Amino acid sequence: MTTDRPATAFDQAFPDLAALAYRVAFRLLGNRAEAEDVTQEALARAYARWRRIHGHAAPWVARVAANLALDQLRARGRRHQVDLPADAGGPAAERSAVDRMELARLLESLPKRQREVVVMRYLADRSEADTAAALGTSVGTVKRHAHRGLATLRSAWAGLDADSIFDPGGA
Amino acid sequence: MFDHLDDPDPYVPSADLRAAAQRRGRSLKRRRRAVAGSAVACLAVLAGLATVAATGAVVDHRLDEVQTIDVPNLRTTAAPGDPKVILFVGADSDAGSAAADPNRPAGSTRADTILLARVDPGKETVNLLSIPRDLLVDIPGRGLDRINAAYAFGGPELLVETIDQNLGVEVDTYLETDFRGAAAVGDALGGLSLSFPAPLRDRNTGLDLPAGCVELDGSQLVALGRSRHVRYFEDGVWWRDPTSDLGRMTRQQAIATAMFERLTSIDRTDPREAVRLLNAVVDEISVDAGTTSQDLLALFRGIEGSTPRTLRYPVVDRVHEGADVLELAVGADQVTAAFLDVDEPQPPAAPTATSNPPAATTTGPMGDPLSDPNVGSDPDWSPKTYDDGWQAPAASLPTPC
Repeated sequence: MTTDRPATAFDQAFPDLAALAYRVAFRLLGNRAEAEDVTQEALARAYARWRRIHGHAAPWVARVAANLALDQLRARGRRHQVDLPADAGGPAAERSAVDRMELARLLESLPKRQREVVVMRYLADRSEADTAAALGTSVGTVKRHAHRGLATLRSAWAGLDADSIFDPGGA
Repeated sequence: MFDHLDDPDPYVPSADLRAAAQRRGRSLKRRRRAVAGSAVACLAVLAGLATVAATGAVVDHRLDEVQTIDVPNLRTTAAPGDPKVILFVGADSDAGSAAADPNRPAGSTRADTILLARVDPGKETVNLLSIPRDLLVDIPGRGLDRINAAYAFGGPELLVETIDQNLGVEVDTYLETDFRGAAAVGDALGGLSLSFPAPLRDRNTGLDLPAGCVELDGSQLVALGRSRHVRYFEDGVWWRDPTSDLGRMTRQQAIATAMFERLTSIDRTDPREAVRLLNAVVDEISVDAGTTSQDLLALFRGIEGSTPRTLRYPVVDRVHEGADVLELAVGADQVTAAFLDVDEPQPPAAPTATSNPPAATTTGPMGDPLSDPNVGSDPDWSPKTYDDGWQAPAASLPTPC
């Protein structure tokens, strides 16, 4: 085991970062095994460049985890799999599964920049400042993309005639 | 907003997962270091060319025999004495690796190393900017792909266009060699001595070397430079070098380093040695058809005696359509500006959108997220980002002897 300084700092930050990566991944994937894989990969990448990112590790990890989860969804789509939770039980779980599929599909339809901002703000629950830091942009740009992205998602969701999951305040 | 999508069962990351992440993290570090290291092979050939140029008049007519490539979209407006940008490509024409890359047409060559050099006759430093071959760029007519795909599909012309469009760097001169070129230069030097901590072999390339100090001839250098399936003998067992391509790049780097040292010790007053070296170099490089031997000579004389200043883009890992790629990160604009000597990299604390005039050549169409005028706000920004310390399996690595 190495005991050098970066590894120690990484060890300390690990539980929170892993929990964050897992939450982002699970919200998109809805599957524990896949979300854990994403968590491991995101944390591995953080470890590899820890010296550079430790100052903004949380938004960085959230971004990487979201990108990996979206990549995973794409790969799943290529295999023509519809991944409902194995233990799907009750209307709440069913609704989550449907929401997840629609959400992923709609996210994919957004321009890359809007998608990244929406994922950071609403899936990873990062602040505007955090999102700006992770994406290497300004808070103003984040606000603009978040507004546009969310508006697009809301109207697309309304077109599905489903209960909106985009109500302000999470109503 | 998406609370209802959370895992209903609480998640506690395990110590196993942490250990696995750190293991994989260490291997990722190795990969990134190797990308940086492969540029050294190009530098060795450049240094060879510069040394040759310094030996004088004998060079002229022989340089006329250099193989030429048509690259119609190079910049031709630079006057003599102006700074020039050279695009240096180390091509990998290894047929055996074609199958490993589905994005690559069969039988084509791939740009293994992409290096930009800016030679300013008025300065004593040569700016060198290595471009990772896995860099995700917008290739005109093809969309997002790795930059070495531009070369694989459209040759030097598309690569030059892609660099202009994505990085905002216009290229004046195009130079190409393959990794055999480095070995051939080594042969012309009368071989290279390298020390091996353990016996090495690779059945795919015929590599078979004992431990200790070995005098390698050209073909052995080629084998060493090509081997990706190296096994080394230690404690009575033939171990596999798990780093594959990355280990190969590291061994190429060791070759290049030894070669670089040898080249600097060359006796420039001995014309025979210079001619032998020149012949090797001339046979192994290709240059764009618009560059005359006089241009080349002027270029190499500009390089000779100057100090290299190495620049690298800050990058982040991404997966694009199932392939590992690198994306330019915050601070890339400043690196391009530093390369072009438009402006020194700004302290990250005080970036301004107008600090890099002229905007057309420094910011360029970098694509999201880098076209944002606010890049540079990253407090950790530094032009050297993938320089984390790393050593390959020591027993598979040659050292000078």
